[in-house]
Amino acid sequence: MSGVASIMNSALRSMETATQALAVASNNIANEGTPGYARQRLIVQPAPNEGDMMLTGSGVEAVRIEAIRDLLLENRLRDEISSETSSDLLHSKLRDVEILFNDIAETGMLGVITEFFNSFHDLALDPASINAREQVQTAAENLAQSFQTRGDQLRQMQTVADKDLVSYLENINSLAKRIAGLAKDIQVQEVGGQNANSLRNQRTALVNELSQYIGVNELEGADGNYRLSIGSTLFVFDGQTVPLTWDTSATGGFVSVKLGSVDVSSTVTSGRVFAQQQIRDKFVPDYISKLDQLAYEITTEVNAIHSVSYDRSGNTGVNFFDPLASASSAARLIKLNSAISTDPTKIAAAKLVAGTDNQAATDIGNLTHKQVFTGGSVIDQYRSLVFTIGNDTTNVGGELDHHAALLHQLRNRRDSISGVSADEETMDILRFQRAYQASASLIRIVDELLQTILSMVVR
Amino acid sequence: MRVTESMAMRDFLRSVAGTQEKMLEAQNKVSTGRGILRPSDNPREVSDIIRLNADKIEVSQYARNVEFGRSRLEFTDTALASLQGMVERVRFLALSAIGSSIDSDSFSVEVEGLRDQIVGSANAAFQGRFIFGGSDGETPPFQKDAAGVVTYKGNSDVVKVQTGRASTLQTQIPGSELFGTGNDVFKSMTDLIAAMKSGVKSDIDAKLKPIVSAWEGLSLSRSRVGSLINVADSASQEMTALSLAREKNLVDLESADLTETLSEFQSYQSALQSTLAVGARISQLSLLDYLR
Repeated sequence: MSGVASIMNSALRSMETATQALAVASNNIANEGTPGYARQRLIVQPAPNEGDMMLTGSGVEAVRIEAIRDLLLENRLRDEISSETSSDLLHSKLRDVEILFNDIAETGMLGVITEFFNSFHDLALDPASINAREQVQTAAENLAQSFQTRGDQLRQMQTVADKDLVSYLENINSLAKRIAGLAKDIQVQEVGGQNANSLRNQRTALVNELSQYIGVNELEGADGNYRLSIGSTLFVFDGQTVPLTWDTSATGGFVSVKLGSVDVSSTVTSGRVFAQQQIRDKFVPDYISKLDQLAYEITTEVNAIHSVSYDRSGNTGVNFFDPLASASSAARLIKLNSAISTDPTKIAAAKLVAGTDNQAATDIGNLTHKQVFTGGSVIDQYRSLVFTIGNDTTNVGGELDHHAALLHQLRNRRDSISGVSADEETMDILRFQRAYQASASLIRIVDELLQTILSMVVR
Repeated sequence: MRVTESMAMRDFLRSVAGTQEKMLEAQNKVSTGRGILRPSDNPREVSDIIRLNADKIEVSQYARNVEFGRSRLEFTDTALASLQGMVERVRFLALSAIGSSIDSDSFSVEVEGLRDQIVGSANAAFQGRFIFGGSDGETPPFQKDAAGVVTYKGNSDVVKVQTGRASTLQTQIPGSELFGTGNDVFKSMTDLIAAMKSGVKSDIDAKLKPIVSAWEGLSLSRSRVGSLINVADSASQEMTALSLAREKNLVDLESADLTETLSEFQSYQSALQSTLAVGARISQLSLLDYLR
């Protein structure tokens, strides 16, 4: 009798296990597109013997549900998400800068620079002409404005980067809080012996989202204590977070990111925060200083000739541009001397005191090719600025391609291990369906056996 | 390797997006006719393109300067020719006065008229500027006062325009050198007129010499202007050759190779078509289709 009953039990357990496996498969299928989801498997083992009979075993039993994931791979994936996001943002920002200096599409400064110097050559053809003098005024004002616009726009890019950076912090803190909460729940559940796969999936998804903003290091101790750090400063630990804050104590009135009391600005090496810092502190300042230098040197060189030359009335000692003390902010400060902008006859075109010759105008016109600028000629100096911007953009674009390709590969490798395959799950469903059906048949057979026995008793 | 639907889908999307991006780039190249669209496409070449464009603009300014100088010199040549003709006439009249038996006073009237005409021609203006005033184009260079004395009011500046990085072109001859340095033709004519009026042939003969040297001075000025025009001509030819060469360099650097770009475009297009075809097939395949 006990034999028949144990077959009954084993069939029942087998049906339960098949049902559980079906539930796992259906959960997998349902989560096929869920970010951070790792496919799960029902781990089963032969059930231990029950009786003292021959050692047939007593069927199957489910041990646990296991999520299939490669932690090392997930770490690399997270790092790559962070790097790819920063390269992408940086690249699109540099593309914006590039537009300001794209002489290929005629949105650069070559036109205004050459027109400015050529207007002096035209003046040299007819130094008495008011018309030619007005053209010099116009060309100079266009040049100054072209510098100002670009100086302002670059400066604005820094300001926007700074504001965006601050706006990220709130998101980052709220993500960190949710991660800390989940980490605590996971620890509690797992200490209690339950599986916390679904919470872990959620946490992975949140940490990946966080990594888009800021690169973090993840550490999970054997005791289940989960930590995130930025650089080497703890950010999430013991289910708590240290809030990211900012202050403007740094130079330039820009924001520095602080974790508690520690300034972590320099330890951030990936994510959007990093990209904004790079734009604000590294790339744009470099362009601004090169643009300032160019504006400053044009001002200085033109003034050097103009201030010792003579206007129509034989007056001398007048600057063409308002003189600048240094290159600092020169692109935003470059401005025509108001004496010149209100009275074109004050333009000093002559080298001789009579004020009638054209030599000064020719000399200023010749500044287009004179090797008196830091970078060679004024054109050389300008094109070195364009080269720097183009080259930076190319390099960041190369990094972006690299990170995007790597990220693509890592995502595929992760999916290869942890991703859900609908075909595979379908096969499993069929397999467990059959197992369920077979066990059900077994129960019917046992039932028939029992009926045979019962009918014997009745008779 | 274990392959899931999401991997196939991801690969598919990546190659579609990648190919579409390349197609857009090729399309932009074709529609703009440019092989490079922005500095980051090729920073080194863009830097070269900027230099070549700047050179081109510089050369076109020199060409404009040469053109302006040449027109002014040609105009100067015409003015000199007419001055020369008038001085020649004065010389002829002086010789006639010496050689004829007619009262020499009767020649003085025409010489007086010619003197005013010469003042007029020496005050010739090109595009509103007096050409013989040195660098001063606004003051009439030769002015006659109430007593009939003509004074040069211009200066002795030699006006030049830039025609290359290291070359200039003189575009006019100052009035002080017009009739030969230090030669006051108007005083000579006034003296001649006085001599004609006095009727003393030897006096007239004595006043003829400065007139002849004024004619020689003008002739020298004319040949200087002629050689300056030659300089301008050869400068402008050189510049045309130079800008053609530059233009060619620029076109070589800047332009899209249309055949290449179009064939690139076509290969992207067929790549996209096959990717789409295969992609559509992949997402159709499912075990579920074969069950039951």
